[in-house]
Amino acid sequence: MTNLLGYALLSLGTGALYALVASGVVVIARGAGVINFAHGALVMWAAYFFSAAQENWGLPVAPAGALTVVVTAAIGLAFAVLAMRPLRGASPLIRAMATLGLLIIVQSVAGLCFGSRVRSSPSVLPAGELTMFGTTIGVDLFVRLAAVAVVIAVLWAFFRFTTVGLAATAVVDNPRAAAAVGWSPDAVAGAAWCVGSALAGLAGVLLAPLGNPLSSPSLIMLVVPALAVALMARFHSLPGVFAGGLALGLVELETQVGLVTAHPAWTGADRVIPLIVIVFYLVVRGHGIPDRGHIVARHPELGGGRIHPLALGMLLAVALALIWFVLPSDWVNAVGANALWALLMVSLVVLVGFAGQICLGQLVPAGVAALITGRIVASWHWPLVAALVVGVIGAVAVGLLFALPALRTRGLQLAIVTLGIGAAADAILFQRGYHSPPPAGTAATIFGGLGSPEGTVVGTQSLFGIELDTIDNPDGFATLALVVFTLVALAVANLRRGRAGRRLIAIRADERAAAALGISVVGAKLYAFALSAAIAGLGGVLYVFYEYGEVGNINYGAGTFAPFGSIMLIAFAVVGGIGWVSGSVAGATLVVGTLGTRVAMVVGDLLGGPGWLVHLDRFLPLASGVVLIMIMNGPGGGIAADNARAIHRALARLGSGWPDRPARAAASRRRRLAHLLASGGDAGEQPVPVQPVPVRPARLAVAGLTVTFGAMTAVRSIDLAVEPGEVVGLIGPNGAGKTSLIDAISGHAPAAGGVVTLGGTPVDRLGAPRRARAGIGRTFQHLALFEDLTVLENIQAASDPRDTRAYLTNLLSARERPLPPMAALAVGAFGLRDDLFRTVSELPYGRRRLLSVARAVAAAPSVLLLDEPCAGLDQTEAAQLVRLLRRLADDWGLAIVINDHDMSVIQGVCDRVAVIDIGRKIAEGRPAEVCGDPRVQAAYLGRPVGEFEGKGLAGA
Amino acid sequence: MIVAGLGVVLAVAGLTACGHGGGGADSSPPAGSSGAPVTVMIIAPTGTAGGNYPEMVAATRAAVRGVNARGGIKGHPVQLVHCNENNDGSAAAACAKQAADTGVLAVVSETSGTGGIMATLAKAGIASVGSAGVSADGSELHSPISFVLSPLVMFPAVCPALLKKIGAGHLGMVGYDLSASDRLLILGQVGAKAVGLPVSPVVRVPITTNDFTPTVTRLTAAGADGTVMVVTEQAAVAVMRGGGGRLSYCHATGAISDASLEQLGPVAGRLVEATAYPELDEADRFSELRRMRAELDAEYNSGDKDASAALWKSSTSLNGWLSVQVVEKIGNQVPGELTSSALLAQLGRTTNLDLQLVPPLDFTRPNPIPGVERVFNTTLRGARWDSGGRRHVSLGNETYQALDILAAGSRPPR
Repeated sequence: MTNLLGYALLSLGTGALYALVASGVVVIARGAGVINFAHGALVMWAAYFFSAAQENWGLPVAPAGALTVVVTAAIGLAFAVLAMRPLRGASPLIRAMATLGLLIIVQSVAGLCFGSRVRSSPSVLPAGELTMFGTTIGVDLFVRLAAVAVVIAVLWAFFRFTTVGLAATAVVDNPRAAAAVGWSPDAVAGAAWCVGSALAGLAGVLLAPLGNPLSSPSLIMLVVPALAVALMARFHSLPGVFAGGLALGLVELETQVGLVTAHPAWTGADRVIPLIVIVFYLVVRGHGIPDRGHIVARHPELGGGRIHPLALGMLLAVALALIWFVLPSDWVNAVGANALWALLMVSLVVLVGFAGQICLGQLVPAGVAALITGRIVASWHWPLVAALVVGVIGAVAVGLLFALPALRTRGLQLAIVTLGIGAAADAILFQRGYHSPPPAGTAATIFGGLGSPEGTVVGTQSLFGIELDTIDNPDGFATLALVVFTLVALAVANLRRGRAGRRLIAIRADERAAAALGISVVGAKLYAFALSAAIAGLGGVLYVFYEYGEVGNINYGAGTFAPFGSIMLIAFAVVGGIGWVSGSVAGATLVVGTLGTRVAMVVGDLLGGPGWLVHLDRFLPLASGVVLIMIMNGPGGGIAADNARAIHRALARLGSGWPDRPARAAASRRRRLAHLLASGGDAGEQPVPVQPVPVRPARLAVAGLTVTFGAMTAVRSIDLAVEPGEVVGLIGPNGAGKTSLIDAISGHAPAAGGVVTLGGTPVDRLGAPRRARAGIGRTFQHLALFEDLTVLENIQAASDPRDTRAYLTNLLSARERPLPPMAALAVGAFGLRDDLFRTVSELPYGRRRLLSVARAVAAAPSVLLLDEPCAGLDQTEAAQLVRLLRRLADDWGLAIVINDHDMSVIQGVCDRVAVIDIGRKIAEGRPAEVCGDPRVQAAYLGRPVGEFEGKGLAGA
Repeated sequence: MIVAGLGVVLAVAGLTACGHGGGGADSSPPAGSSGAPVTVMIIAPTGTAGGNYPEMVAATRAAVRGVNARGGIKGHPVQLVHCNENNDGSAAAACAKQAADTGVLAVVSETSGTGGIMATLAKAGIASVGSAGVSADGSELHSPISFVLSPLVMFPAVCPALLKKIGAGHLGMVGYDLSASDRLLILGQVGAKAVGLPVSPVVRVPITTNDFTPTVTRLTAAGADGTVMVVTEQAAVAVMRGGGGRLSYCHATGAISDASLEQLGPVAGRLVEATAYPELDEADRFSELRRMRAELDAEYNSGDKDASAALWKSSTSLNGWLSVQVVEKIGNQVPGELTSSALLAQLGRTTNLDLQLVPPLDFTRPNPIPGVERVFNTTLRGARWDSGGRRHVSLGNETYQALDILAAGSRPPR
């Protein structure tokens, strides 16, 4: 007990540090609405700067500390003004990604300025000891604790009692409202960054004398426990931060003392605790499908996945010729490294670029595959190719583990979870000591455990007859790397163009919309993580042999798979263009040791002059950080997108000299259209074909449906039935429960009670995708189109077969098939033929609204649930849509439920109308009857219906 | 790995301050030698923001000056090229390539935290003599072209004996929970067993540890009065500061800088160090040490400020100087033409090489411990920090045979 209390007291030192770092994270989150992944980097910067201020510049401790805090605060302020201000309207995820740019910049600048020499700083805290519970404790611990407590108390009082503090919270919660009353969101955000960064500076000052090896990237990773603590405090409560920091410090130390020291097999267990906290707070409290309030984040620009065989063949031939006949070995190895990093990055193209699953721990599956492969080779002497297969399977298993939290979290939350997983995996897997069997016949056995060689001794290995040794066989290794990357890149490009890729892009764009089209969000995520992990695993195995093949002994703990590496990987991938397969090549070029480094060295040599110019390659990471922030401020396409646009412009200029080029392009387009619409859509446009249409007529029946959100009941025991060919309108004031009713029918919101049947079959137990596949289609108020895709791809995403086979076959081939009959008919009926090859973002609003309905129709539903389909349309467009909907019901037999505020629409299209008010159905009948109902007039219309002719509610 | 562990412990591996290998001819051959000049290369970082070894480079320059004064190697004047490793993997690899491309006779006292050098030298058939053996890939310790003179990678095995010598009766250990620390911790535990001292606790802390107060508490609460440290300089300083006079401490020489020891004050007097070579002030006992000092003085007097006596260090200066002595002695034994491959072959045949400062070396018998096969000298010494005189002083004339200690400690109890 004495020990327990003694260690509890001792843990206060680390706990206070966690609390201080986390308080900075929370201040920035509260004042600027940003999760700052660079906070650990700012602490690292401050620790270095403080040390240098004393050692190099000879400043006394107090001025050095004060200067450190001021400079770190200035960095935060400058970042807020220069980088975050233009991003004020961006999603939290985009802004958090921009902080990764800050992380890279700070880390690079610190490296350039301070290097990695071990530094020492005299303590700013008083010396002396006292004994409590039989434990000798330094006085500095209590001083540090008190200092942190005072700082946090002041911050708490500031946010709680001052007008400025309250305004800061208001600005984040509702920037427009706060601005309306005179609080500038930019000013508040700048102040929050300034104060939060100053806290990082203070943490650095208090940390520097504690004896930490300042050169370690582990300082940067202090952000992981800080995020765990901030999560415990819900990024809001400063007392919670203090308590959480101390609690985390206590649990870590007790785990270290009681478990890790006593049982070395548990090495790293103490460092898993922040991950456990993160998983608990984010995953357990997450949602399978995002709720209606979920903000759809902007994602990086997507490439089309088109392959140009001639260009690719020529590039490959030139590269191979250079490898074998021209380049010296160091350049050849740089080509090999480039290909391998590109291979690792293309795994992120699948996961982040296509599926939109942010992963800050992508080197974990890569490392696990390398670990499994190496251990099998070293311990059991399997052939490398067999071990490689097992290793990649292991990576897939890890990828699926990553996917589990992704099923309930997304965006920023997922980024935090994967960062935590990366840190935990590094601690428990890669930093573990590995040994290999002693060589046969050795006398080493007399030394007991020392007789087993350290590391994973794999010796000289070959793959497909190619020796994996960059010294003895650089040409062969580089060729292997290049060919493997090319094959994988081709498969990923095929995936992008195929229906499996469209499923991934659909969940990236909007999970709710994807589910409404029958796409299994769970299945698509699992696939994305598995495939991505497999590619990363393959890259990881090849890369460890690139690094250690010549030595024949793999060291997994040297930082190759460290969490900071994963951060750099995604940062470089974004800079290269994470939505483009070719972006992986561009991104890889920025990694140290690849072609970018070689070119920078040559350029530096040519430039000569000042010393820093000679070492131009040292500035590559810094430049990458800056470019990352710039990309976050733009469309997010990265280098690959810019390259594609430049090539397109160049080809257009070249093509202008060929008069017949437009005619050839038009002919090609016609041929493609004819192929796509072969099943009927090409027959005509506006008129809806009468028959045959592939609709399965079915009756939708809802009985006693109830929807609750916590203590609030949004829908109270509503009964509703819609027959095939019938259009039923839902009307009611805002907040009446209409959309909640639609959500509950489509499976997008859980029902607390009641029954939903389709064609007499209950569908209550089915999730949204399976209800969609059963025949319940829907649209959304906010359109929920896949903005990065073309109109055609949106239609295809809705009408593609939902087979699992595509997940495999699309990697090999992605031949474009004719649209299914219903999709082709929808294209014709909604007049989308001429827009098919345009991206959605190019369309005017009215066309996009039509597309949202057409996409739902293309899925061939029996029942169509339309949530405010006419919102934003002018009267002509609305009237056109009304006619179209009426004919979909009359001629195709669709059962339609329409929620709209425009009474002219409701009256024009509906056979019956149900009126909802405060979650209850208060009336139902023909439109004219309902509008004349006094209860309806009192609750909703307010005056006789005739006054609303031709007006929406907005006009009422 | 031992090597990686030592790299962590000595914190010599710079990761960020980079640049590609530069370097150039550091010393020109004297006019008096008759044969064609041969080139010896030293690969080590200088002038970076990380760990730097200008005193070691100067020591090799001094040694080459001495060799040339004696007529060179087999009549060939020797010129020394320093390739700046810059604490950067790319620069290290470029240095190795430069050595191979220019056909140097040998590489001496190579010091690189990143490694990636030995394989290139091996392919070119160039010997590496006297590598520090601290690279992350561990290649210097088992590459067949490497001939490591310093046994410091085995320092934890000897520390218990040194601590016992100054009166410790119950040891603790402090290391990281990194794979790189595993072997070092085992070495310490086996070494303690060999000298009959209990080791408890063995504290493994995360590399992210910011506060070593709990670590010290665990050591003292368990009754330890001595501790073997296999942590970085800053962590070691923090442990010593926290432990104060309640503990005595042991680390590898050079792991804690003189500046830090001076800052620690009297507590630093409780530090003993495992050393590879005699202390520099033991010149009265070792004639070779006197010769080294004279050659370094001559180098300094020629205008080489890095050869200043104020910068001399036993672990680095002596290692650099000795490496050149090996090349000279073995080079002179090469039958026929003096080439890098002939030198390498002659090194591989060498037995009973007496450098006086270390026990006679037998390059035909690799170290039996896997992973450190090329560490031929396994004899360590002890030193302590004289906080009054602010210098390292010998702990006595005893030497400590690490392999004997490990064999004794690994023996199962009867």
